Amino acid sequence: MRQGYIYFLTGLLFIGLLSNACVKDVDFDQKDQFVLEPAIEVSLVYFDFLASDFDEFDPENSNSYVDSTQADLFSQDFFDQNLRAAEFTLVHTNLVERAFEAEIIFRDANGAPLYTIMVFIPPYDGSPKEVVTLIYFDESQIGILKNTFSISAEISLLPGNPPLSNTSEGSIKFQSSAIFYMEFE
Amino acid sequence: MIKTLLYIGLLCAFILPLRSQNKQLLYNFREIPQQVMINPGAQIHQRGYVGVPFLSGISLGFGSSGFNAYDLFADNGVNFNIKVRDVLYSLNRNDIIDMNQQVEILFAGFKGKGENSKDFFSFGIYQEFDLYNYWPEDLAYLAYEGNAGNTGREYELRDLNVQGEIFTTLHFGVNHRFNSDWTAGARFKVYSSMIHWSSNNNEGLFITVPGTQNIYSHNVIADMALNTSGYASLWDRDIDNVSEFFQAIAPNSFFGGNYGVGLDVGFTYTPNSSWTYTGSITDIGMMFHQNDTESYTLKGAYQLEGIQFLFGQATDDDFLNDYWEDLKADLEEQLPLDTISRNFTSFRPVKFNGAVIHNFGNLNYRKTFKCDCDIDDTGYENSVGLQLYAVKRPQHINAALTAFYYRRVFNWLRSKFTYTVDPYSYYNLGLGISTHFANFNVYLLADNLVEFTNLAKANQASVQFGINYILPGSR
Repeated sequence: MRQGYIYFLTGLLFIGLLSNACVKDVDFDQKDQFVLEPAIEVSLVYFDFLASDFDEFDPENSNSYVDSTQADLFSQDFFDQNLRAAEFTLVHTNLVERAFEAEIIFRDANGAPLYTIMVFIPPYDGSPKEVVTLIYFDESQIGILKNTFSISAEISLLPGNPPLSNTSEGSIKFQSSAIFYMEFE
Repeated sequence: MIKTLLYIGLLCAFILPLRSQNKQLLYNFREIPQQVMINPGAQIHQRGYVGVPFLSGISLGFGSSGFNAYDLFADNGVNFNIKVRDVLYSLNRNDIIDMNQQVEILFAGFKGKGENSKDFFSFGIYQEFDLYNYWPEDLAYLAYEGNAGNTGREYELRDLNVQGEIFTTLHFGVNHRFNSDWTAGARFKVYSSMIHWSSNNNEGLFITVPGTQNIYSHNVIADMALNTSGYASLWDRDIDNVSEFFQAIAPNSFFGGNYGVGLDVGFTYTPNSSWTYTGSITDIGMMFHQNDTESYTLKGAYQLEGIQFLFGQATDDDFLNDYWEDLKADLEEQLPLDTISRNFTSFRPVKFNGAVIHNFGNLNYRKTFKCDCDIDDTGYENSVGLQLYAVKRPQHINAALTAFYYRRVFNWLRSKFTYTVDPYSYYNLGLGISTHFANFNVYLLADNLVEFTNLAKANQASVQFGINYILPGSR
């Protein structure tokens, strides 16, 4: 019988325990501190020209090419509200025995240049000339990207020798990528 | 037999962690009428019973195998983002958060006609909320870290595995005592879904690899879907709070148009009075969603190396081009995100319960009392045993092993202690008590008692209680 009372008391203790069930030593307001900071890496623009594209014996040929694209993604809400910094990697690989100059321009909605990147690419001399350019937009400069509406790229053959013909060998290649440092609160 | 079960149980419990729907305290607790809801083939000793409407069976449970609220929200001065990072890197795709709630609206059972009838019938209606969410490991890493610096890493889209539903169940069970050794039973269920959403059996991956034309090549192959029913129509309603939400879905309790059928089966085998073996499989069922359905699908393949500048060679304009717009259009065509209305089928998580029970002690315990027999009571005063619980969900089986001690304390008080193990909780002690006063059965069952003093530190907890009226006399 005594054993029975022990069980009975255990039962009471059990009910007491359940009725005192609680959540303590926690602060759920901490969730407001939460920041998600992924870094998104993405390939951007690329192009590839053959040396023969710069044929200097063809009077109709140009020694400079320019193209551009609308790129208003940075002004979209996703980037506008959450982009904190960005790092662009531009890689020019030259297998042509002539030097080139590349110009990349970020423009606003009115076509006015916001940011210009100039890159000198030395001529091929038996080993490929790879020029890597890193551009970092920190928090103070990120507004430039957010106001960007279009991006243009121009590649120009610089004066020099040997002259390029429609049988000249080699190519000038451009590759690019960017890491976007996001911050979601 | 016991060694084999123990071995299998430990193996399952350690390889296949956790669950919140485990009702290890109720299982085989023969004084509580609701035990037949876990094993329709349970030994039933009562002549009949009627649950107090809305109060006969209320259960609440939650489980989180990888972390608890304290891990994230401890008021200990550590930066919240550091705690998030620590938790995130400790989880994997087998971790699960699950919640389950049930309220019995009606419940009753009675013995078949005739004094010698070996049948027992039980029936009722209950409402259930069930949610599980496996940790979407790869998707979480992708969202948390981004893909930078993770070239060559495959992000599995199948990691998205979530299901939530609120539904009512109408059930009718038959229990038949074949002889002194064998009892078996089955329960038929009709489900009516109030709201459902699920995304499981997804396939695909996202990977970034070095490109051939540009620095990187980003590749997505996806075959994913989030299916919903009873959800799309809520958009048209102005829902500001939980009570409005329930008001909106309440009409679906019986006539929502999304129905399902289910089956529970179970048995009890007692080769002698010292040993009892029980087993059951419950919620072998599926729901057919045909009304107010909306599915969101992402299916296709896309490879991106960036935008190729063509310098007028293939474009009308050699200056400002819409490469970016073209890319978006191409992406939407190759990898469309569609919203469609289609019929779909969902499965209830199937549960298995099994037990080996050894009965011992004073066999004539009841005979020492001279009472009005508010419950039938033959057998030993003690039982010990092992129980194995497992639940099957898409891509996963979760299990837990329980050791228990059952004691007939008084004629009006019965108790069951449980100790349940899985890799995340070695301290899960549970206690259940069932009392009988004036033909009323009142029970209270709770597991993980050690953590009840601070639920924030609990990886799981569950509580069940209810009141039933027990008809005088025995089966």
